[in-house]
Order: sequence, then structure tokens, then C-alpha cells
Amino acid sequence: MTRSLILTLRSMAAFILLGVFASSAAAQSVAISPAEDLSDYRQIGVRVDVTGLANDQILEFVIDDQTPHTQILVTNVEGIERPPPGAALFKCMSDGLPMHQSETFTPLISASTEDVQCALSGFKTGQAYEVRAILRSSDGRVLSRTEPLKLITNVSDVRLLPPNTRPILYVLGSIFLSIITLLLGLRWWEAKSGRSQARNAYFYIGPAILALGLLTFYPIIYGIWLAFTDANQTHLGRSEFIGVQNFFEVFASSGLVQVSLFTLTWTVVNVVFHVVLGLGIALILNRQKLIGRGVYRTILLLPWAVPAYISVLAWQGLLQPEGLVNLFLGANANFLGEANSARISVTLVNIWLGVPFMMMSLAGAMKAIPTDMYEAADLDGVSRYDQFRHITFPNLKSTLVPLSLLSFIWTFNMFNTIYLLTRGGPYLGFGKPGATDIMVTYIYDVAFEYGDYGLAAAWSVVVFLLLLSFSVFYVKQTRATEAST
Amino acid sequence: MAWVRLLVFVFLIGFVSGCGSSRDAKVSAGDVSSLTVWHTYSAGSEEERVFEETVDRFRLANTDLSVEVVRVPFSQTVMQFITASQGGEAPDLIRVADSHLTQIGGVTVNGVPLLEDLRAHLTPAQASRFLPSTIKAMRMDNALLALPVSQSTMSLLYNPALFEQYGIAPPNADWTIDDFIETAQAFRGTGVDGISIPLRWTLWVMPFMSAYGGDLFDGEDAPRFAAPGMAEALDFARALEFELELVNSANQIDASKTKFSRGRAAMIIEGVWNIPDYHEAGIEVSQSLLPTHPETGLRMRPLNTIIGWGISTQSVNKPAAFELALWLSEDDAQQAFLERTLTLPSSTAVTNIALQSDDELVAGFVEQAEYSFSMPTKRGVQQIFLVIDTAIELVTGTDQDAQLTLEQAEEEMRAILRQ
Repeated sequence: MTRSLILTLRSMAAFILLGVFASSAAAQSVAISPAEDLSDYRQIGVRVDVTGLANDQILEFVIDDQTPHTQILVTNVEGIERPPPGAALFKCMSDGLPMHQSETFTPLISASTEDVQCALSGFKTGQAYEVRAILRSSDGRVLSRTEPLKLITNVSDVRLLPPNTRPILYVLGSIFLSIITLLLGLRWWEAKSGRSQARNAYFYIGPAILALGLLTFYPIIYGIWLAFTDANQTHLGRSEFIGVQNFFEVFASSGLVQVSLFTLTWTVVNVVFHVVLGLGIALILNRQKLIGRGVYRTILLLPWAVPAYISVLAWQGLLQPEGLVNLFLGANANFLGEANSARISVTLVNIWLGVPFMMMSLAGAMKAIPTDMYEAADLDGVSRYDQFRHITFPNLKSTLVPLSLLSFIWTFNMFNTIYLLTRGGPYLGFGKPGATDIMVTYIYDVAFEYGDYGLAAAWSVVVFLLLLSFSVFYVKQTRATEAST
Repeated sequence: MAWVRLLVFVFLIGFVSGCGSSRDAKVSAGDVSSLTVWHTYSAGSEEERVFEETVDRFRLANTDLSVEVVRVPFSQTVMQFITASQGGEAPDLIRVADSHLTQIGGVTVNGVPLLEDLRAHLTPAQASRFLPSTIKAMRMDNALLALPVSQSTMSLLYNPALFEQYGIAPPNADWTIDDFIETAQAFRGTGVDGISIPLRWTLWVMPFMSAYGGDLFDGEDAPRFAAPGMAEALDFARALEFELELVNSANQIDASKTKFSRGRAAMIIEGVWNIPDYHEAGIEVSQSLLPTHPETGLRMRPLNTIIGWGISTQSVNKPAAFELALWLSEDDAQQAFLERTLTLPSSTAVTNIALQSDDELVAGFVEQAEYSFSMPTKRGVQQIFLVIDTAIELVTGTDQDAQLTLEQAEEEMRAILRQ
């Protein structure tokens, strides 16, 4: 009785064990098939049908029977969020949804997963690979292995084409042809009107006019066009016309007043000092009795002779709290760090840079004033001041007017000094220009720090119009042309 | 007659000028047997030598490929790459920092991004070699824009000879910020500065902010500059300069380095990249982890910049470019960089080896990298330097309230990130 009971129990146990093995063997069967819709450039889509997985098992893809590719861990994924579509490092899906992933980017699936799809990465286009799926236990034993599946991706690379330069070349060609046609027309008109002496002049000025047209006028016109578009770093080559929106933004900008005021102050102070100091030094150097004029002239010319960026960088070092200037003053002032001292410092450095040019130009112009005028004045007992007032100054006017105009335009657009000394800082407000920002340095930030090319172009157009208006007004006021004749 | 000939010539030029380029013709296949690589290592540096040796080994292993190496300044990488891409002249491979990605990542030319999404190239097995944090830093808008190759962070460096000379206990990993200050004060009257830090710069204030107020960005990558403790950090930085008078070169990076390299400062918070300069100046350098905050218990965490290799979308041979990127980030290459240039690795295996290294500086900096943070790789995040610099300037230069300033800074940063 007992023996038959034991036999019955044994057979029941064997039956149960067989059933367990049979069921587990069925669960560990893994089937692999292609998933064409997941194939892409360098990616091959595969689909694996699995059932009855257990936690800590690993579903692995192996390429050409030797290279491990992807390991998917079977684990409890409760509490782990699926990544949003397209956000995962690797494109895999479990049961039709983006696959979970660990902090270390390992793809994760739950034991109940039945459908796994992956776009396996790193394959070369047009080359066949054998992909096999292997199910392993946590200790690495192979539980199931599929037959190798021969797969290939024929999707080719999508790459950024070089920009279409045809329109630019057409524009340049048109400018070129227009200028040539204009010059030929003028020459023909000259010939027709009988002024044959000037006919060859057009031939001689042709190259210069062409160079100006292509290298100056075209960029200016392009810059103006840019100001009416939404050109932006995020969509280069696809800018659209937006009318005067950028100009509204310029005039509504919170930094407009601050940057305009400092630009104006900076320019006026610099030009005044350039002219006054340049003229003063030129007068001194023009004195016949001055010993060592050549030496002084050479020394005074040095700031102009040394490349500006080297001079400015040298000044940047000198103006540091532990720099030479503080050493001489016995102070520890932060010249470039405080707003007002930074403004004064950049202005002084630029005055230092600009005076030699003014001095040299004016000294040259003084040489051209006939000495007999001074001799006659001396004979008449005219004082030095009156000689300056009635002889020197009127004779210098034809030089001073264009020089001061040039100085104004150069200083207004003087990027190097400010950018190399302070980069426009210090910044005393969020989203506003720095304390030493002038228009051109601010435009640089808008274009290259914020990547807003359209807005920066609008600022540039405003600067261009300001300078153009000033130049016209200044020339009219000073009657420079009349003075020079 | 000459004018007629000139006229014909000019018209011919005009007509031909528009025929130079054609999109319809599809770009030529390009030279698939050559790769151009832009790197940013300093000219003549040991880094450049190790890099060139690694490339030479790649050339030997791939004799069918020619590799041209071009050096570009680190600070001009972004503009040069964008300009080159617009002109169709982008290199195949470019060395970029995560901060560069925040500027290049959002740029498109004719609707196409400039950098290739490497997810299609990288296999999970290859990805598992890298520290997850370094992979994360190379990702922007879900794409993987570069393969991480190194990390770069700052730590506390000190001159052990000066500590020994004045009988002052050197820093250790258990130090608090209070200990740090007390030690710096102990150098008073010796003619040597206890610490030399350019505290007017965001990069040096960030570690204090992280110790006083925790992370600078929350889990959603939104700035949290106005979080509790952050204002105290700014006040503390200000006090170091004005009240405690421990820092008198607050606005100069170079002056801080010069002081340390001349033996006129005992401690400095500095990157690993400057250590060769200090050795050259005859200064023995030791390293310690940055101190912890005595109350919050948080350790000062410096910014960790992750550097990697990105592939241009213009590359005609992306698989080869990717092979080279993989080659440059192989464990052997990273090991060589670590040993010869103290470049911190992005590889998990090399990092583990480095942590056990007998070289105190190597092990110390790798450990410090674990106590560091990376900024989110998002467009506009690079503006943080301008925003925090402005906040520092307002607090130290105009005495504006630190909390109010940081609230404004946070609002400004949020606005920048929204754009």
C-alpha cells in the first residue's frame, strides 16, 4: 500500500516536473524576424517574439556570431517611465511602446514582454550581416538561440548639401555686368559728345569700380536685405522676409538708449581729444626751434605703428589691479571692473591710440602752409595766438574737416578697443548691454552670441543711416568742399 | 576692336558665373578616401602630440584612408564650424565640448543640422564603455551629437612646500569650507596669500553655489539660481574679497595663476590642464577634493566640461569618420592621454583604473570629477556665464541684494532657455 502510494507520488512528481520543463522550454523559445519599417541609414530592424521570460535573463543580439551588439535586461520595470518616442539612446520597443532603459542606457523589458523590436545600429549600407538573438540566464548560460538571420540595410546617407551659391553668383555677375555696361555707356556718351580725352579714363577706373561693387556694395546691399528677414542661426539658408519687424525690435530694445548714449559720449569725447591733442602736438612739433623733433615724432607715432590689438592687450594688462598703472599710483583700483572707471579707461586708451594719426596728418598739412605768411605776420607783430587763429587754423580747415569726419566714423565703429579691453562689460543689468558697450560691440553680441543675424543687420542699418546722416550734415555745415577749393 | 573683345569676354564671364554651382547636379560623391579632422589642442602641447600619435596609428591601420589634421582655436570652434558648414567646407570630424554643442546643436543650414546624430552609428555594446554622465552631456534634443572622449574639471590645488614652511596643516578630503578659510587666514602676514581665486568669475563661484544651495539646475534642466542658500554663496564670495580680504585678485584669472606659479599663493582652485605650467615653474603641486559646507554637508562641485568628437552632416564618409572617433576614444588612447597629459577619461574602465592610480593627482582629479556637475546640453545654456557674471558684478560692484539679484538672474536664464 505504502509502496504503491510512493510510486503514485513519484509518478505525479515526474509528471509535474515534466510539465514545468515543457512549459519553460516553450517560454524560452525565441524567434527572430526582420522589421523592415525600422531599418534606416546604418540601422537594421529586427523583431523578436518571446514568451514567458524570467527576471534577470538577458536577451542579446549578436552579429556574425562574434560581435555582441545589444543586451536587453529582463527585470521589474515598475516605477520606471518609458522614454518619450525618439528620446532613447537606442531605438527599441517592447510590445509596441518605447522600451524602458536604465540610468546607464541599458534597454529593459519586463518578464511579460512578448514582442521586442529594435533598430540595431552601426551597420554599413549595402553590407549583409547575420543577426542572431540569444536568451541567456543571469549567469550567462544560453537558454535559447535563434538561427542567424541575414539582414542588410540599403538606406543611404542623408547629408547636408553644400549651400546653393547660384543666386549669389548671379547677383555678383549682374553687378559686374551692370558696372561694365555703365562704364561702356559713359565712354560711348563721352565719345559722342566729343570729349575724347576722357575716354580711356573709364578703362582705368574700371577695375577699382568693379572691386568696389563686388566687395563693398554687394555686402552692404546684402546686409540691408538681411535686416528685413528673420535670418537666424537656427535656420541658416532659410530666412524669410519679415518686413520692418527687426527695426521695431531695435527701437523697442531696452538697451537702445543706454548703448546710444554711451556710443555718442564715447565718440564725441574721443574725437574732441583726438583733434585737440593731435593739433596741439602737431603745433609743437612744427616749431622750427624744437630740438629732436624727429625723435619725438617717432615716439609719438609708436601707438599708431604698433598693431592696435597688441597695444590694447598691453593696456589691458597695465590696467589690472596688480598692473603697472596701479603700481605707479600705489593703488589697487579695479579700472576695468567698475562701470565708470571702465568707461573712462576704454576712452583714454582709444584717445591714446587715435592721437598719433591726427597729429601726423595735421603736422603734414601745416608743412603745406606757406612760411611767408607767418613771416609777414611776424613783421606785422601778430601774436602767436592770432597767427594760429588767422593763418594756421583756416589753412588747416580743409584737412581738419575730413579728418575729424573720419575720426568720428572710425571711433563710432571702433570695435577692437572695447572688445579687447572689456568685451563690453561690466554688465550691470540682465539682458542689457554692458557698461562699455557701443553699438558695434552690441551688434556683435546680437549676431554672434545670440545668433540673431536679421536683428544684428537691422542694428547695422541703423548705425549706417546715423553715420550717413551725420556725414551729410557735417559736410554741409562745415562747407568742406568750399574750404578745400 | 579691343573694346568689343572685352565686351564679349565680360558677357561670357557673366553668363558662366551662374553656372558654377548646381544643386540639381547633386553634390559630387566627395573624396571618401580622406578625412579631415579639426582638433583644438594647443599648438605644441603634449595633448597635441598624443593626439597625433593616436591618429598616426589609425592611419597605419587604415592605409586606404588619408587623414588630414587641422588645428583650430578652442574659443573659435563654433563660429569656424558654422561658417565652414555654410560654405560646404565642414570637416568630417570635430573636437567639441558640451558647451559648443549648446551653440552648434540648434543650428541648421537649409533645414539640416550641422552635426550627425550618432545614435545610428553607435552600438549599445560600444556605448557601454563610456561613463553614462559623459554620454548624457553629448546629447541634445535627444540626438547624440558627439562621442565623449574626456572630461575637464577643477579641484583644489595646493603648494605643499608652503604648508610645510609655515607649519600649517595641508588640505584634506574631510575639510569644510570653514577649515579652508581658517587655513587661508593662517597665511596672513607671511607674504603668501592663503588662496588665490578669481572670484568675480562664474566658473569659480559655481562650486560655492553648489555647496550652499545644491544643484544649479533642477531635474527638468531649469535654472534654480534663487534656491535657498545660493544668495549666501554669493555673499560669501563677496565677503572673501571685501570683509575677510582673503582674495585680492578677484577679477583676474591670469593673476591668480601667476601668484600660485610664483609661490605667492598657497591654494588655488584650478583645472588639471594648468598643472604642467606649475611644474614647469618649479612648483610642486598637490591636490585635494574641494571642501564641504559645514551645515549643508554638500561638497563644493565645480563644472565638469565633457569633450567629444562630433561628425559633420556634410561628411561624405561618415562610417569612416565614426571609426576614427571610436579610435580616438578607445581605452588605450584615453589611458595615454591620462598618463601623459592628466586628461580625465570618459571611459568607465580607464576611470576605474585611474581611481586606483598611485599618481595622487590622477586619482584625485578623477575623484573630483565624480563630485562635479555638467550643465544641461540645451541651446542658450552657455549664456549662464554672462548671467551669473552679471549677478556677481551687481552684488560685488553695486551692493545689490544677493537674493533679489539671483531671482532676476534665474528669470533671465529661464527667458533665454525659453527662446
